[in-house]
Amino acid sequence: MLLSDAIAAVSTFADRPAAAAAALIRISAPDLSFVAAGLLRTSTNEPIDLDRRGAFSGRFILPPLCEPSLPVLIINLPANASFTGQATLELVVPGSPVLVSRVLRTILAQPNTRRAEPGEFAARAYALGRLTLAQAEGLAAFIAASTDAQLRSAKSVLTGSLGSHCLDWHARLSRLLALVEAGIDFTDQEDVRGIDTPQLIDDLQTLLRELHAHLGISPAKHRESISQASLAANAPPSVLLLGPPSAGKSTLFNALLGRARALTDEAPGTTRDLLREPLTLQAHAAPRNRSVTLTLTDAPGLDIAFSTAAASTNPTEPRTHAEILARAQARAIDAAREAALVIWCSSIDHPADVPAALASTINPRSIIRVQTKLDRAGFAINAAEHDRLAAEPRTIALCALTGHNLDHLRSAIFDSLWSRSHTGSTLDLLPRHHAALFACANALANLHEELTQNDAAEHPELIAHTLRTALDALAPLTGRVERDETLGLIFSTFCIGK
Amino acid sequence: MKTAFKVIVIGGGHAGVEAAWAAANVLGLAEDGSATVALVTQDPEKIGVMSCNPAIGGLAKGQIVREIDALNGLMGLATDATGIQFKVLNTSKGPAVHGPRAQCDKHAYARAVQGMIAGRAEICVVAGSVEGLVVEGGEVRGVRVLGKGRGLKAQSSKAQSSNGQSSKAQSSNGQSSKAQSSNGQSTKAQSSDGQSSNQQSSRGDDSAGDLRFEVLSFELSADAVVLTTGTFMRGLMHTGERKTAGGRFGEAAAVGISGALAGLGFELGRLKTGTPPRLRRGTIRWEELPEQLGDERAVAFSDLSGMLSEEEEGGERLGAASLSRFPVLRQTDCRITTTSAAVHRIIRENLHRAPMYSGQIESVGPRYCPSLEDKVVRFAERESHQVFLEPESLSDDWVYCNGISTSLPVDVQDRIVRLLPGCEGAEILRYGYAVEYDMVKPHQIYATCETRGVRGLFLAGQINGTSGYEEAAGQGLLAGLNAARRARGEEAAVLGREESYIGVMMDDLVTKTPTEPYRMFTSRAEHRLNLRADNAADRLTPVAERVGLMRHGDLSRLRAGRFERRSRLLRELGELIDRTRVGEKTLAELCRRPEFTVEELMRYVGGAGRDWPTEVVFTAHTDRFYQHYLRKSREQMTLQDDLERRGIPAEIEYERLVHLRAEARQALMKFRPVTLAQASRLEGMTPADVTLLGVLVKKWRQEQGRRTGGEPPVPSR
Repeated sequence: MLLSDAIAAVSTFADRPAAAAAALIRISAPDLSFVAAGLLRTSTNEPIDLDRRGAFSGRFILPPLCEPSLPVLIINLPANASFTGQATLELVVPGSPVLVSRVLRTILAQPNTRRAEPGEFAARAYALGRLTLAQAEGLAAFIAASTDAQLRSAKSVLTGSLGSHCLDWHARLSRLLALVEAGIDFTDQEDVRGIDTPQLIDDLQTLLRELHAHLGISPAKHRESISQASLAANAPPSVLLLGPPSAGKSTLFNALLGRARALTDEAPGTTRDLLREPLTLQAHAAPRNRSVTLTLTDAPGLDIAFSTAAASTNPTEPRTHAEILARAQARAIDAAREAALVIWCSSIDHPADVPAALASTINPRSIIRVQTKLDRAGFAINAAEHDRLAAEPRTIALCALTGHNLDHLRSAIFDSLWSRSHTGSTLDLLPRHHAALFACANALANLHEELTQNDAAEHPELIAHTLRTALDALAPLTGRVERDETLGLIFSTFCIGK
Repeated sequence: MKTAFKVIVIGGGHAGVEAAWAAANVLGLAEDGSATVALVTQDPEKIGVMSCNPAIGGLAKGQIVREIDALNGLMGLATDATGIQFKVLNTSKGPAVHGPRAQCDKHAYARAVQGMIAGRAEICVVAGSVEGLVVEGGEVRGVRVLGKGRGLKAQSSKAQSSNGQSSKAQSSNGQSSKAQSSNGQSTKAQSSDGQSSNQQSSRGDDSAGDLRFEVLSFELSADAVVLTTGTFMRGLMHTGERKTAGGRFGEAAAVGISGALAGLGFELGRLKTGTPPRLRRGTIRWEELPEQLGDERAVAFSDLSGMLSEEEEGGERLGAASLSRFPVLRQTDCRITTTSAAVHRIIRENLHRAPMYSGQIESVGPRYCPSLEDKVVRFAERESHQVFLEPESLSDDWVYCNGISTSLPVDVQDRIVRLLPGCEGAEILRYGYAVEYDMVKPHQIYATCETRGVRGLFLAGQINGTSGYEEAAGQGLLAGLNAARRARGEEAAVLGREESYIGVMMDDLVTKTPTEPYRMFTSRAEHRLNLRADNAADRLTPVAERVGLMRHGDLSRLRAGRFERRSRLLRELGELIDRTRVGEKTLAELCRRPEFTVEELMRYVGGAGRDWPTEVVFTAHTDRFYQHYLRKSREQMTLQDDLERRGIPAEIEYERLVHLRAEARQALMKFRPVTLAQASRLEGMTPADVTLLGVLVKKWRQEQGRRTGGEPPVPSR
């Protein structure tokens, strides 16, 4: 990439030109006078004035044509007003593909001019300081966005709305850090008093609330959300098969995967540990090229009696069979809290609903109820029963062995995950941004805990350490905080100096 | 006259003496037994003078003094020998931010430093003003010295009188044994100095008392030159409307050297600093003012102070350092008074006469050390500021007014001082003044203190835009070390940000554009929890041994012995702490709890029938208290290490790296970082820029490799 030559490209439907009313050709270079002088005229056939910013009609000179010139709309953007930060001309030409490609070829035939590579206009904008990295990243997502939510999110990064939130958090954190640092470095100064712990706790709470709102996490469940959030940011969502022992979860697991991954047996407690396998589901309705990738997890059977015991069992050294089972169940419950979607399985001949204690910790919209073993010998399902089951929201009766109704479950899983990731109410943040915000919130939550539970106030150097960790976490979005900036804040706040 | 040295140090302030001392430690004596280091100063009697506040250390600065001591420097020893109030600041907070501070007897301090320098036969003190640098082919060869007749005369006669004074003053303080050893050194110093003064005399200027001397110009040659000009380079002092050329009250400015540096292509800047008025203690109603006392149990800066028995010390010639006693001098108290609305009103009424506000001074002063007029303007809502009255010496009654640095006219200063409670009848012995001076913008040096433009020329102290004795001394030590290593044909040595405050300072200087005199704060150090006063020796004494700072000098052997013992005890105690269980937890685990104090740990380990030195228990405890955080920052460090190791070729042409953002490219062209890590710390560099730079450097190397048929050499730092 060079910045010195001129680059040009068709900016509308660049990859598959088709007949349309008009097409836009963009040219960017440090100096465009050669294009202006050689190829463009005003509508009255005068040379155009590149100092004149704005849109005006004019003519494009197509040399080999008999027709002396082509009417075009010329948008002239000087370097200080353009997207790239260089002089830019945008030509709106009639949308005939043949004409468009002729105009472009004519431009590219100019000395020191070449076709722009994909993203090169944005790259120039970044190189010349017109876009920040976050904005350039937002732009890339913008162009690649395939859903409205992605687009909104990309736009918010590009126009800096996420950026301005981050800058605000960043400014407030910097200020807190400065107050803490002032209490360390300038205690020999009459004027300086470090920040009070209650004030600090208060400010931390406010910040955490806002960060959590942006992340779509409930502050109360920050701890539980850690794995969930990191999963959301970096890994496919987890779909957990959960239910009483011998509900046929492992059989369903194998059926969904399409292979015998899990050991199955009639005896309860066959599955002792969590089994995880990646799975990709295709859309069942148009557009069919959509897909979601998830992690399918098979959990040990959940015995209600055991599950309460599990909570109080010391997890260090299990000795008895019962303890082992209890531990396995505890793990299943943890997995349920982290899962994006829980498929609650019970056998159709022993129906059981989600235990109340567990239900209260899972978002009700994240549960799909399934009744298995529809083929059960001697259990003939009559039409009325079938209707009742179908009417019950999100309960799917199926048979994993025959594959009956299995597609219904696949569709339900697909719909749930797709809608979650594509029409969410919170910003559909780029994973890297999500991770940055989360790391920041995490550091603040740690500090908040330290301050409220321990006597951390006597160690401002540790408070400062954690605050800086939080600020550093925001750095990918806002840039680093220079140590001089912290000092600058201190000097402007306090009268320092004996 | 001896004119050939290995290293020449210009300037006898805190940077200069530390540079000369460090160079002497590395170089030792020449083969013929003569000096290897020349210390050129306008007035040898002013060596080690405390121009401003007679205090050493404080927050972050105390850590630097501990680092200087760990690197076998002299500042800690001189402070311990002459401190009249010791106090560790911030003791209510974690040990990482404890800041040891001492107020010194300023006369005793200068004498102690002069005694220590005199005690080193490796160092030859030359009186004169450096007027030019001898540079050939981009490499320094020596200096041109203008020996003013009066200065020369003063040197030979005053050298004796100053030594005489020192022994007298010390014995009056009741340290006869120390005074003797100091005397012994003085004799030795005169004989080593004698060479040059004889030479000078032979040029025919022994007509004592006559001020019309012939001006003597001579050249000294060396492999490396350390320049420490302090506030003297085109120094200009202001008190109200009155301007006087000079670097310190009553002392001339250094004029030639600015021009010489500009001629060599250096970009100079101008900074400002100031000092408050001094009062006569006898005229202050001292006893009526609230007092400020030092710590009951003084803590020494040096690992050697007070560590030897008198017999052990007796046989050694160890400079003015007090190795068998600490503290040495009688401890004293300070007093506190305050400014008032009336004082502030007078200042406001006279602002037009203050050089800072009349436009007479345009250079920038430090925000953290504002003049009283600055405070009144910037914090107009405050009606009162504290003023600390600090005795400057036990042997005179000068009092330093900490808090009212000013350059207002003398009549205004008179009125202000008399409005301070307790000072109604105070006599002003010296008025406050501001001083402007030239500095070399520090992007022109490497983190070794060597200039980029002239090989072998090193800069240290205020010339690099810093302020403070400790900052100056830290740079002086590093400059002296590297000047000496260059003279020995050894590779330059740098200190990392993760191992020392001195490293933080050097890295900051070469990656930031200074807007005010640079002062150290603990918040500048990202590895603050590890850069502590208590573990300075653990961090840096091994470095000192590796780079040659412990090669020569009587103190080196002693220090090595002390350190070996400390390391052994620390190891043994560590094992004991990690092993011993109290209930379910080990002592190590208990140390992580804030409520488990050093004293508590002492109770547990002391019971094993063994006396552990307090300082060893303190470090063992603190290391474990911060262990969790230290481990995390070590993990980050390994990431950063990769960047620290990746060098950037010195000859890289950033003009050609058009892929870089314009802002990043400008920063790179200005600072020319030596490693990717340094590049990452430049202003305006984003992480993306650093990644891109990494790729471009690699590509550039490959291209160069193809062109020249080999990898270009990695630049020395």
